[in-house]
Amino acid sequence: MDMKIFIVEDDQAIFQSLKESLGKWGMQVVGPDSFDDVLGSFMTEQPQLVIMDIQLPVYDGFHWCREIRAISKVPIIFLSSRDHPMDMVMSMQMGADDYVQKPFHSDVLLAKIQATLRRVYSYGEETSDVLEWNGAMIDLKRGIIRLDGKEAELTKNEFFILTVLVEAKDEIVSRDEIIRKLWDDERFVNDNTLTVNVTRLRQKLTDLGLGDAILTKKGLGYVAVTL
Amino acid sequence: MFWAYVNDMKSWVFYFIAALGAADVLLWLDAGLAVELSSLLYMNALLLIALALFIIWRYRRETAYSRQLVRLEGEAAADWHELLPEAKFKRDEQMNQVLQAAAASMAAQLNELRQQNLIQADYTAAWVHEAKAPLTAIRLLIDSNRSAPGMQRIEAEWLRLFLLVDQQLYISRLSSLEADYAVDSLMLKDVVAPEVRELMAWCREKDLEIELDGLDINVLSDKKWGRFVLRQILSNAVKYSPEGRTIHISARTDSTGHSILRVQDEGPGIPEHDLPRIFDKGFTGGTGRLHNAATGLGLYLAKTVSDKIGITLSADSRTGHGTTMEIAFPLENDFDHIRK
Repeated sequence: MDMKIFIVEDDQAIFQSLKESLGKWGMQVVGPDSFDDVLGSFMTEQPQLVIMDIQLPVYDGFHWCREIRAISKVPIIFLSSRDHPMDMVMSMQMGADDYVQKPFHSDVLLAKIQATLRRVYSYGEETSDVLEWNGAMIDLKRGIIRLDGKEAELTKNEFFILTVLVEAKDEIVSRDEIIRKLWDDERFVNDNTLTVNVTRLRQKLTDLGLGDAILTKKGLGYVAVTL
Repeated sequence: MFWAYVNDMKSWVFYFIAALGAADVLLWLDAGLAVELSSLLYMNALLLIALALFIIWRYRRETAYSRQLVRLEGEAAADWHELLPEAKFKRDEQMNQVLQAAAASMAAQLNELRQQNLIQADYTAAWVHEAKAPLTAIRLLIDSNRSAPGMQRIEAEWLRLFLLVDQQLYISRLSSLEADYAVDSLMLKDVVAPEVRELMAWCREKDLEIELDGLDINVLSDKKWGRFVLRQILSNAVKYSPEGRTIHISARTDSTGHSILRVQDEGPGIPEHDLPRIFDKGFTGGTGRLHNAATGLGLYLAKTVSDKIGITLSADSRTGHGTTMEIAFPLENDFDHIRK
């Protein structure tokens, strides 16, 4: 399903960056033709989701949110550098679905967009609880990996690293990216711990008979290969 | 007070005694006026006693105003000019007028200053919000060009800039903290983890590991200001951690029921003689000067905010053995005397 996102943001640098990064996720980003008539552009574009800045020329975001709400139930995410609780309460009362504070990380915004789209359009719900890899079953719910009736006991970090690698099967995942993902998951490890974890993970996989399934690419990262 | 009054009145007393003396001499020398010595002494005594009584009477009347004024001095309330004693004499009335005028001019000046302060704070807050737009744009550029060389350095510098800008916002809000304050029950983990995550670029640059332990307890605090205090403590720990080391963050409940969050780094520590001064404004200490990165503001701000929201900060350190900072959160009934 192709998603069209309508971003009402007067800062061109932010708008262009969002357009690029959301575009990579297959979302089409459009903006209003002019800030005098955001509603008109909204009706022409018919987007699946609206991202709305609060401070805008002519009228503010609250105004346009009210106008849009009068004619549509489209999900709206507010974007603002203001952090007063009143602003958040206001936007929720205007019918906003979420509130993101500037400056934000693009992955945070993306996660919120995806969560909102999933809730409203039941989109992208085909994520499974089990990954298959070289004949082994990785049970994401219970946190175990099983092959031929044998089970490996992985620590949380090891399991997390394994999932990251297997989800990007046959592609190199850089150490930086793995650490970044670990941090996003509130596991604040450093380089050394990552090395230790990968070594232990490899050892446990060897016991399962998957000794060469995770390769080290010197200076680049790791890759979970299909044997 | 009485002798001071007599001193003020000494010319009158001298005049009276001189006049009395002159009358005595006249009575004694003038042959036409035959007066017995005893009568003369009697008259003198009578008049002197009368003078004394007169002085006491006048003292009570004439100094009533200034005595009341003195009593007022000890109270020194903001609206002291409304408590000025009632004037009986013209001179007291003039004094009252002058004091009223002084108070009015003082109030006007104070008001103007307050107004300027408010404008300044508003301006700073607006400036910070303006600055957040380019910060956001840069952030998005970094996020979408992550694989480019040197991006990690830029990200760390971005974070430093953001922390400074954000700190400025809180400084401009400090004066209105009381109005902008709401106590909530917060799960420590939900407060600490995002704050650590925020410092990722800096920790990655220094290859630090952060260990969280036992943070599944609830504390009472204002979310925004609590996070501000925590951020100052955490960024301090990151700043002084050597590369590749670990910062331990743990929590416990002490015997009085207070929840205590502990942030422990493996840095160079603080010399014993510097320890009592680390929360002072502008204090950077030996390590700060060594690293040339300390502003001496972070811990001072943390302490200022903590005092206002009932958090107790303490530090323990030995040179070469790292620094432990403890944040003790208030109990529910502690809030009664914070709010006063």
